[in-house]
Amino acid sequence: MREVEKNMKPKELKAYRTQLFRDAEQWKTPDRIPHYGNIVTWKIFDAGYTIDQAMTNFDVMKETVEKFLEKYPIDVLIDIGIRNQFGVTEAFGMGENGYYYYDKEVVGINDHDYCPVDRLMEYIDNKYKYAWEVALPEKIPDFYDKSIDTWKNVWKAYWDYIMFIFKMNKVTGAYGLANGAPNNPMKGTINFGIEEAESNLLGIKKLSIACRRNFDQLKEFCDAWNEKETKPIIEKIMAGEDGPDMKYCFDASLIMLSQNILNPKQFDELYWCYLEPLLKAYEAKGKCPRIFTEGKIDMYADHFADFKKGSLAFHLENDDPWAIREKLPNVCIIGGLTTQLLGTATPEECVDYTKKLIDELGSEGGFILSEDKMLWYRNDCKSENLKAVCEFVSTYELKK
Amino acid sequence: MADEIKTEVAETAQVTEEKTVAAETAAEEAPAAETKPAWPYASYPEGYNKLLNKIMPFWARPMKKMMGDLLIRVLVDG
Repeated sequence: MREVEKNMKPKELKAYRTQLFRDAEQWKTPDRIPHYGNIVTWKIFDAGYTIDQAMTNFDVMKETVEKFLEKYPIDVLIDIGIRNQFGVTEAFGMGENGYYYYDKEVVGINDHDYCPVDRLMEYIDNKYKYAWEVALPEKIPDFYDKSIDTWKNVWKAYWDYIMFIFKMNKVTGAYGLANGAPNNPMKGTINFGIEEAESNLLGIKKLSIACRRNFDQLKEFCDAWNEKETKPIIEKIMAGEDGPDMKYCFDASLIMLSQNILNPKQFDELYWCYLEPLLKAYEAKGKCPRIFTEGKIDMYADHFADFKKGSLAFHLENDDPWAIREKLPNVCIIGGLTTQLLGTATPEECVDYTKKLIDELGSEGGFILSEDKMLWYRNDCKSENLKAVCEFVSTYELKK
Repeated sequence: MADEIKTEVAETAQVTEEKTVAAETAAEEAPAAETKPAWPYASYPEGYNKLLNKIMPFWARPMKKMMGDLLIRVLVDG
């Protein structure tokens, strides 16, 4: 870390780091390139624990995050140890009926679906009613047999989890870590009907089939989702203040995944027609959302070509950052570091590659360093490689 | 004709009696049908609110709507 940053108090450092992100997004040359840590459970291994030890013990999880932040001077961390709701599901005795699972080395999620195509409209009519009256009893065979004592234990685990979130926000605040993005202006994360269908309601397999066999029903659902979920967000954005919210590095955080299984016609009719108005609203208000483009986005790059510089940032996963820069010179790129590099190369090779990324993509703004994939597994990264990269990027000053 | 009617009535009565006896026997032999009461918290939001009132501490109840809905999400997505 540079001396000037070492001497900052946590709040000052947090504000400084936020400014680095905002400068990069706005294509102004920042003092140095900010580093968005796309690191999830890898930090558990790095702290000397296994997944099961951290997932079942908030003290261990807190310690892994603290050890990580002591060791690596990162500017934003995508997961501060709070993507961990196993305490609640285990108190409920969900067992093998849960969608998430873990062992010593892995946290995984099974492809799941809890709403058939012909009930999608029932779901959108009242999501919580559907979840409570239909999805949960179907998911958990003994749902109606749970005792009040079990439910009290669920509540306690849930409350402990919420308290842990507050605690971790304090911990990361003490390290001057910047905030990534606010939640959806309504509540929760911003999502689209097609993404909800893929990630929860239909699952990848059934959505793929429904795209061919039940297109009209999917379209009706996506239209209804847009009316009920997306349009109110747009109205709220347009009614809000102009310019970036400097409490955060980005004005919103979106995840795109389902473009990977949609053909161009499906993408236009089930996704883009709802996504574009939202992005245009952010653009009109001088705001910049971060979009985590899981899988690839290059096949739809032309859709984003007309947005103003400073109004979009793509966190790339499998796309080549140089190819995206050529196709989309208006979009800020987040990414560049591959798990292949971090997991197998030498520290010198990692630093050389990082320097090349910064010099070629970020010397005039428009680039934020990050790992392309979330670091989940033990072999996704070598500690000495991440340390060398962090040391380099946090001290490599840019010429203005 | 009258005899035929009497005979038919008698046969019908016989069949009816046999069916009744068989049904009563079957009913006696069969285990008592379970008449389980419906889960009192099965509906949303009424039943769910009742459950929350049972499990949430008093001081947390003003946050019932927000926290209750989030709990459903944790359970259904988790």
